[in-house]
Amino acid sequence: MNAWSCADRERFLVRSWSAEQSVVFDMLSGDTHLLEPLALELLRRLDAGVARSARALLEDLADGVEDTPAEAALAAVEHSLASMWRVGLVIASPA
Amino acid sequence: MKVAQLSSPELARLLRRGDFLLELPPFVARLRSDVPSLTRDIAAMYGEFEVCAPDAFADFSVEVSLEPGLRRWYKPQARFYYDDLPSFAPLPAEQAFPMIEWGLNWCVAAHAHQYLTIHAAVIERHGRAVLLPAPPGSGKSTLCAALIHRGWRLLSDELALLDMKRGMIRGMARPISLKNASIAAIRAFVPQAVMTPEVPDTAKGTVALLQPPVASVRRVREAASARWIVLPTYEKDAAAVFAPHGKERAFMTLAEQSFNYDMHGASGFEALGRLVDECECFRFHYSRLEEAASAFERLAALSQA
Repeated sequence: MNAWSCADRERFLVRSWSAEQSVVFDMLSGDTHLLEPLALELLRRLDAGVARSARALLEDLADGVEDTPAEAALAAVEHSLASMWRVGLVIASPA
Repeated sequence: MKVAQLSSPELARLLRRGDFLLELPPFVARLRSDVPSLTRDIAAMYGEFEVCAPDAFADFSVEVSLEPGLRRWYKPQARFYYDDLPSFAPLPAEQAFPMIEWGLNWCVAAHAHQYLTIHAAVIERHGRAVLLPAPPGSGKSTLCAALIHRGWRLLSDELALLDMKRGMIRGMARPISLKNASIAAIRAFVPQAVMTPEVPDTAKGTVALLQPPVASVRRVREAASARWIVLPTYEKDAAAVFAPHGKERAFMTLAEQSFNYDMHGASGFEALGRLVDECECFRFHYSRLEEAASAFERLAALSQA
């Protein structure tokens, strides 16, 4: 089980033209990413100093996912975090 | 003075001496060559372009010269030089003109970082430009070649130069590189089209360059603001149809098709963002050029309404 954090949210520039996707520029790496809404929301909720579990993040998002079965929602959050970890947007540490 | 005003011997002499400075707004290129066929091809393709004085400033100094030794006579080869340094492997001498074109593209893409350079065709009507970013094989050049003979102004077939401060797009209105089946397709669509002889067996197959329309060359200094981003795809038997395309995905395509987006960092991101802000984005599938031209006609008319 991992805990998730983000070293510095200020390093991201975000552009959205619809509710469906966003483009995010990472000033640290110089990379640009296409993010789904869930990923962008998670990125916005991650702090530098405080690592949080996927379940804790899901509880934060509860209003937005109340109609989704909990396990499916948790899997979606974990998948999204892992995707962002693979491209260096978030940090994973042992919980 | 225009290239067309030079006699063939005079153009050949300037090329041999490295005194031929071709104005490709916003750039000037100094060309040197001892390949005889280049005189013919440059005269045919760049006749309406301006020539600068030999002592003028040139942004790029390029040369395509025959290789020395036996290769000068037996299956002659030519090599591209940039600032007197050999830049690419030699190629058969009959590929000299395509080599100049590819080399000039490389010069701009690799050095002109005052612009955000995007691998895209750009055409314009009534002051509104269509940006056609696409990977090779998408049918971009064929579509562009057809549309510039149906009332659209050519800014570029290959390199869109985004002035990041002003948000305007520039192009050099250079010849269009047609490949393989596209050559016959454009000959059929524009019977009066002027092309170079076909050059077979290049890295891109058979290539012929299409002369840019005179009216486009005469307006080459006019930048345009982008109104549409259209991702074209040639698809056998497909009807010509525009389909809405997400701006975020269009943004990513522009970033992927840019030669120097990474170099510009946050400024590049913001500049592309402003460009996408101003544009409607579509995918466009087509197979028949006449239908495609009609579809673009309707697109232009909609914006006038």
